[in-house]
Amino acid sequence: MKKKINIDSTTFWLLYRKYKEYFLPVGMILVSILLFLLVIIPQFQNFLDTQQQVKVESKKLALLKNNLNLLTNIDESQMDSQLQVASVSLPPNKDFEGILNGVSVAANKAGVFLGDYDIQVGDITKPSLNIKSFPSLQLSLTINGGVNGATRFMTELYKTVPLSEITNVKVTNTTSEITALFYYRPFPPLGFNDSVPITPVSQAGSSIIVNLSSWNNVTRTIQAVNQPSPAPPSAINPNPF
Amino acid sequence: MNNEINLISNKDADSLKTQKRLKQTRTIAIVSLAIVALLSVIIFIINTQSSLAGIKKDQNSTIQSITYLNKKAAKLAIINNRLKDISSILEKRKNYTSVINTLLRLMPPGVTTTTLELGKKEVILVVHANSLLLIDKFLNSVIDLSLKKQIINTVTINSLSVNKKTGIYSLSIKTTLL
Repeated sequence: MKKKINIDSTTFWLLYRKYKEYFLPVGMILVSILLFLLVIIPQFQNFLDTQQQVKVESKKLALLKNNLNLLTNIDESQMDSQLQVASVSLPPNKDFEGILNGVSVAANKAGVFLGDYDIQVGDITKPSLNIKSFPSLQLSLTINGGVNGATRFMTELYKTVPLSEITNVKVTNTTSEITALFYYRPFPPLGFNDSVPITPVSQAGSSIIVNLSSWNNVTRTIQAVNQPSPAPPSAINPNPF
Repeated sequence: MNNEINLISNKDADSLKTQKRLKQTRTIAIVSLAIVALLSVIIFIINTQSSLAGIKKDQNSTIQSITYLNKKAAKLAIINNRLKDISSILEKRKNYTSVINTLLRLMPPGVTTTTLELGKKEVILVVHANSLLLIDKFLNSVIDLSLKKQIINTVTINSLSVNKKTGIYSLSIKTTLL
């Protein structure tokens, strides 16, 4: 065994003497390969990731700048009036005063007299914000008019704020019973998400506002809301700010 | 003379070959090291010049500016939300006026109505006339409307009666709305 080891040792020395000049360049090549695999490739990967991140963050910055630009240039007084019109049309809570005013205005414009009315208040707890359908107050009323009077009244009621939907109509010769739902919806929770683009009021939205502004009872309700009154704190306030 | 016998030693040629191989190996080693060094420097410079930090700084200053306009942003969000809801209500609410007007337009002169009941899905109408011909004309018009699938879907006759004292015919029909 020993003899065999001596032979290997001799071979090793022979090989060492023959190839010792290759050790340094081969070592350098191996180090270069190792550096390439362990440093250059991860660094390059890191560079690509950074570029990707730069792209994402640049988009986010552009979005933020657009949002800032939009908010800076928007006319606040116009926005306030739009908010008021939208809020009196779809109040944030049960707007009894607005409803009664609206019905009265619609009856006057239709040239009919209002008789008895009955409001079903329904659930008095605050409605959930997550529900898909709109909470509403049901109003049943009688008017002294036949088919023509009822038609005129319904036409006027559909052009009156707060928004309502007629669900039942019973017309006889001289009186008509009409059941309508008056919708309301609490304001959504306010929160600013900087990754979401802020959209201005669309063309369709502006048309709706312009249309609603010409409806019955809008000015009256806005004036009633803006006038300071000794109402309780839970009273209607279309402006949540 | 035998040509296959070579008496000249190949030692010099082997040595030259070995030296040439060594030189090639050294060149490859230096070049590879130089490439690695060059690549490292290039990637380092590129990474240093990356504008991520600058972008983040810009973002923070923009967010800071937007914070002062949060009230406006909230108002705008509420307006858009309200408008979406209003638009949804306006789209879904039924226009009973047009239903009534359409049905009234179908009535020929001489036909009158005393009772009209409109629900979410159906309309009950009672009409009167002193001639069955007028009642028939009105009924045919209603049936035509239902066949054209305009406003109403089906028509059912609830009753047809005559008041012998006055000679007035009364027709009660029920139609389902589209």
